Amino acid sequence: MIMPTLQMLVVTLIVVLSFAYASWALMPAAWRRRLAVRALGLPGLRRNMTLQRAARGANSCGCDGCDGVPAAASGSGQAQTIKIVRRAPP
Amino acid sequence: MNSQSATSLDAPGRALLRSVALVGNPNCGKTALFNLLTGARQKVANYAGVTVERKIGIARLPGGQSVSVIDLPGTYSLNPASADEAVTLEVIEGRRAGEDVPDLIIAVVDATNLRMNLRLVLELRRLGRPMLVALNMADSARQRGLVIDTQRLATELGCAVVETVGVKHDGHLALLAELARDVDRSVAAQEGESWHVEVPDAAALQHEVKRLLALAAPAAAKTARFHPRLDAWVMHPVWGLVILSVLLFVMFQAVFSWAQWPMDAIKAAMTWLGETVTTQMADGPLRSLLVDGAIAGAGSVLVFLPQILILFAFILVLEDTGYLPRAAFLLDTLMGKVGLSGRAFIPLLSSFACAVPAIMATRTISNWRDRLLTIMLAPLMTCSARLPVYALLIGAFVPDRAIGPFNLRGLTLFGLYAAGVLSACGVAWVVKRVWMKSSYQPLMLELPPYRRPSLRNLLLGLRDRAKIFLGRVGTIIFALTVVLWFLSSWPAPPEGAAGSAIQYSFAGQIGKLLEVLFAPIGFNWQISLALVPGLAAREVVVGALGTVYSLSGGEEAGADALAQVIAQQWSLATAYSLLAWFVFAPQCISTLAAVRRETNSWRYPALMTAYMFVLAYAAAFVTYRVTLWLGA
Repeated sequence: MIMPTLQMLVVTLIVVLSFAYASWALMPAAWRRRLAVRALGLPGLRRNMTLQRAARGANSCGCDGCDGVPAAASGSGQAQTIKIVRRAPP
Repeated sequence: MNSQSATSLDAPGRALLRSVALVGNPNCGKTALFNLLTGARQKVANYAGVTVERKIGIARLPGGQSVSVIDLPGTYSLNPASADEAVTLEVIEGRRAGEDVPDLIIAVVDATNLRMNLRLVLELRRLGRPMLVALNMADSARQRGLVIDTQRLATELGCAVVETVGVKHDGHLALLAELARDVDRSVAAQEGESWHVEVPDAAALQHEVKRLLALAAPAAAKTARFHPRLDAWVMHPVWGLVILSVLLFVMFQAVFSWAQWPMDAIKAAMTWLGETVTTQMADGPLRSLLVDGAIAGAGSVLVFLPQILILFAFILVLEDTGYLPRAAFLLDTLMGKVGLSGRAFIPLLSSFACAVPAIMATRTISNWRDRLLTIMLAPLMTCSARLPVYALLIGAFVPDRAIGPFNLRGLTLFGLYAAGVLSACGVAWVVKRVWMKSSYQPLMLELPPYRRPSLRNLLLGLRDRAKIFLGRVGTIIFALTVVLWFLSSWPAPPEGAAGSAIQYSFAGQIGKLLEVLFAPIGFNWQISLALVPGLAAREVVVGALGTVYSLSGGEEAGADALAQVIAQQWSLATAYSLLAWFVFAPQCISTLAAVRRETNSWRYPALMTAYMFVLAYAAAFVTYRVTLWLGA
């Protein structure tokens, strides 16, 4: 049986960690990247894979393949011309 | 993963092979080979346009050396027509910021379609870069009786040619062995040569391809890749639509009927866990956190894993067989009528899994207005995160009754998915007439041959999907339910307060404030509160409802209990209103971030949030009022 005071301590720890994780995961990617780069400078955190991934700009939404770098801006509304090439006569 | 590739000289005039790039036509199996070479688990499917961004992994060669492997989006030529094809050219020309040009190009060729694929190989040869040709799907080619003289092809192309099979666990060994041989010699060959691309004349290229085929694979032109009789049915303008409808019906029926047993097992496990913790642990905040927060919250989301896996099993099988691009052709006329490009079909289809990769997949659409419209519509498709919410509400409010051969619950789910598609068509029709006016872009998409679905691919795909879902339950969903539990438990109610404690908590007060906004559409304060963490991930709404109702009334934990509680406490009008809300619900934060990234502007995510909120509110309002008027 865990005593109520000890329960309160464990609960406080879980709530603080959960709040920190949720804030980390949901903050804008640019902030997360900046934070991760700073945190990687601290001793003991340099090899942390999560921070390394975040510093590279990976997304934290949990989807595979969502972590691409920004696409090149495409501002033209021009349609691409499709060239039809006639087959050479046999 | 290493995004850097560099060439270091270890002896005068010689350099080590450090990076190789997989280049080839769309749907020739580059990503399957990449996965084999690097042990990665990137998405593969039997249609063009799955990879839209370059991916980098490390391959270990037989000699122990490491090589960086770059998987690139498929391209038909070195004259890019869309954003994803431009990525390929940027990388192989070394124009990508912060990345060196790859040391060796692996030209991946679909051995069953040499006539089309060899054109790109000939263009790549003109680059003058070290190159190696991988004849992928060599097993399929052999099965069709196609004999390819690899030696002759190698002599004619002036580079090594190896056979590979991307879907077999040892299908890449010949390629690895060839790479090991190339390790020391490849870079020396490129010194002093230009990397500038000159796209040759298409007719001349085709002529050269014909000459090569006559020498190395004379039977290639005669080998049939398609099944015209099957396609006559599948792509028939009437029967094709009937087949598509039946397939979708079966899929949604299966989501409900096949998942029952495993869902019951998970529900039972959650109930047992809740009861065990309650009996074994002293009363206190930790017990409440575990029972009302973790088990009633995150546990109630976990129950929907079997339904999500069944839905994805169908999607993966349809992807593997090559049916999906045919469905795109079938629906092209309809999509054209509402102003959508036929190319939008694949991204919109990806939205059924998650809107984020779907928004990235719009890079295959070359016209900017069409691409932007597809981005704005992608969130209207029902993503898998909405499935738990739909399943909970349908399970609680729709009777488990048969209507002909179909189950009413399956039909309701089908209706909700159809509502998403129809609303996307409606929005597209309006937007194309008032804002993004552009002419119809005809769909040009390469039809893949039919293939027997690979059990290995299916199991790996389901494993990945389960990992993603469980990962979300164990991380962001758990964290948010704990935060919500805290907000729902503090501060404690004042002395002599009447009603449940949660009403006096932070969460209760936030819920009451939001209720003012949502009362006209029938939402009580518990629903209003649950919508807030639902912006982070849709499934959290179920977990949040579980936690809030568990703390409100001290009911049994678990999704089964939650379904019973809401069935007793909500009116039918409220349930239908919430379903209508979720068809249009404003998107999750990840989706908005993806829209910002792809459009390089905050304007479009803001616009998306606004229009979806208005649509969701209007749909829920009409649904609520009409259901009340009908007497429900």
